[in-house]
Amino acid sequence: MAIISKKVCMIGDFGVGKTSLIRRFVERQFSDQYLSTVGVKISRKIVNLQHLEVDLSQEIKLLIWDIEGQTKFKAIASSYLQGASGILVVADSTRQETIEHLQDHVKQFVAINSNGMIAVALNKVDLVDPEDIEQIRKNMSFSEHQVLGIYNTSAKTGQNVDHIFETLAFKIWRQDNR
Amino acid sequence: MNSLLEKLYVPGHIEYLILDPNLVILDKSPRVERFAEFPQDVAIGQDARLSFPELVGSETIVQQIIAGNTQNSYLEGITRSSQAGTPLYIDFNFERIGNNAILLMEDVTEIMVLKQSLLQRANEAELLLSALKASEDYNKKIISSMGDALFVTTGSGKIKTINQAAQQLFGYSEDELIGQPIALIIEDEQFLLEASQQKLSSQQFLAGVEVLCHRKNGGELIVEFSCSVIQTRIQGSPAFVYIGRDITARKNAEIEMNKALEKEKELNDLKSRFISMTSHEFRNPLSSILMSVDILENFADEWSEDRKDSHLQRIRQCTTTMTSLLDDILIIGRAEVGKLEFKPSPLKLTDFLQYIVEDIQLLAGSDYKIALNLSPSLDGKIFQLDEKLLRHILTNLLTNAVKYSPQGGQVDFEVRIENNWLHLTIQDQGIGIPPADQEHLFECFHRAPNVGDISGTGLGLSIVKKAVDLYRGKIVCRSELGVGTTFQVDLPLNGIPKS
Ligand SMILES: Nc1nc2c(ncn2[C@@H]2O[C@H](COP(=O)(O)OP(=O)(O)OP(=O)(O)O)[C@@H](O)[C@H]2O)c(=O)[nH]1
Ligand SMILES: [Mg+2]
Repeated sequence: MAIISKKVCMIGDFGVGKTSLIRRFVERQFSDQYLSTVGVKISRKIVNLQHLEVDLSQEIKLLIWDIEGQTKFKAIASSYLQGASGILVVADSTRQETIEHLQDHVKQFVAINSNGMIAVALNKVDLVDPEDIEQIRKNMSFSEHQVLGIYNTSAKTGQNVDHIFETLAFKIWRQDNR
Repeated sequence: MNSLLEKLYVPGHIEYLILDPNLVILDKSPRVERFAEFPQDVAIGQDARLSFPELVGSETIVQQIIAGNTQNSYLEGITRSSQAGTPLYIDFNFERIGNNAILLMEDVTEIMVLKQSLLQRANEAELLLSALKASEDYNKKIISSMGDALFVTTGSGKIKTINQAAQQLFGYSEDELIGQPIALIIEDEQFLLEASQQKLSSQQFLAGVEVLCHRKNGGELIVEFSCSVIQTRIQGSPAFVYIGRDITARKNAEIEMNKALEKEKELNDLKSRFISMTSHEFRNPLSSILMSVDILENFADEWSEDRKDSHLQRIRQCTTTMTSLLDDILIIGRAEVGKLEFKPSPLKLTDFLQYIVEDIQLLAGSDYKIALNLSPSLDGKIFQLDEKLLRHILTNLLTNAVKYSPQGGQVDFEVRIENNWLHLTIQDQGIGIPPADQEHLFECFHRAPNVGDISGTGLGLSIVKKAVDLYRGKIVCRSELGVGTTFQVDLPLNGIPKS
């Protein structure tokens, strides 16, 4: 069976942990050092969807675009998002403003690709009290049907990292094979 | 195709691929392989996505460009994580060429590396700032929400920072306090001195110092302060942190509590004194009775009627003493539990007084004289008086006056009415009360040391005081040892005056 390749993008404010999530997912590693991403860095990983559905012996090759984070001075270039089957929108749970920007990122993607899948990651949950995370989650909601869910992630501990990528991959595959 | 491109000027650092709508390579620049992830897969007729995997997803763009729906598409600074060593950054630019698309690729590594270092610095600074702001915000909120008053001063004691609680507690606004000496708030020089000496050992913590303070409006406060020293950025210039908690209410409660405890202790003392005194007071007459009964049992046959009579007399006397002691104890007990009440009713005062005096005179016998001096204006008049309380007051005072007078002594009892007050003055020429005992006069069972063997319960004056108090009246005593004692009792006539 031919392996399917899909483009997914990581977007969010700078420093929220996009690169770290990819690094954890692809290389199973984490570093406390911050090296900001410029332009876009592309990684690859083959996901076995069997993790999610036992009967499914399907593999999917993700091309993960780690896009330079948004700053006060520079928005995310929409051209990067073209042709992406899904995105992972990331916020830093310790920085309120990055959470507030999630909505804009989702909108930006939906405007370019109304069929793409969206997963939202509240990253760095290892730094925040679970109670506070609960509250953050209560305060946010997405009306876009493309949003699969909001995941509490930590690139540092690995919490939900595989899960969020695999879920995204699975939903992308299922959309093509309904 | 080649001929077409040859007309284009393509600089040396740019490579290209010409792609059909399905991303099949139609043509390529000679050195395009250097930008490919899988150079061996770069070949005319091959799917470009094999050698350039990042082209996955660009199908639509290519098709739109070829269809003329989009002018061009530009992707800045693409790099690959699979790349070892220095990363290669390439700009991708899709344009239309005839019925196909051209992907122009330019090596921008140098500029991207430069950009990276700039962005790195900017983002790190921004992150730091945001963390700082968050923590400052957090600290500010904590400080302003603190229930305790906070003052931070310079080394010399000038107020630099205060919180909301401090303003509220002391009634000053922030403007009024900033820059002022802390002594404006903390007047306790000793405490300030101790605090300033901590400069030497900044690990120490001065805690729980109670300081009397004043609000701006002059109101008094008791504040429990703690003080610590923190090091500021400037070497050798410390700051002092004072945290104060208003304990005025607690202190007042403590005082009340102590009062209550004191009262309880007093009551306990009273009780023990009461028990020891009563048992003592009862023991004497009881042993007297026992002795007399013994004697009568053993010697009654041999003795004359007279002698037997004297013992029977003693028994009667002792029984009477015990009965009156018991009466007094009961009265005090009732007053103690609030059962003794003020209940005035119409009373012909002169008749009542005469009756009492006669009664006491009878008991005192002819050796003593009670001279009742009634102002004529009282004759036959009826007043609203509490007969019972009045009786307690007068019988006790008159009995005492007689008891402590020398044989043949006179007791003067003067009664006047003035401005709706009944003034009763009882004066004797008895042994007097030592000055040290005068202040304990009305305490239960207190008896001055000069009473000798004159019997008494030590309850009479307590009863008098309790009755006068119920009457909201006044009692004063003037006494001189060996000269005599005067008690003056003033009672309001129109019921109880409002207190
Ligand atoms: N504690 C903790 N730190 C994290 C986590 N994820 C990322 N970090 C740290 O956050 C910083 C930024 O992480 P990156 O992954 O570089 O963030 P980014 O979103 O890629 O940032 P840009 O590339 O500038 O957009 C780094 O110092 C990471 O070590 C996490 O889950 N927990
Ligand atoms: Mg990054």
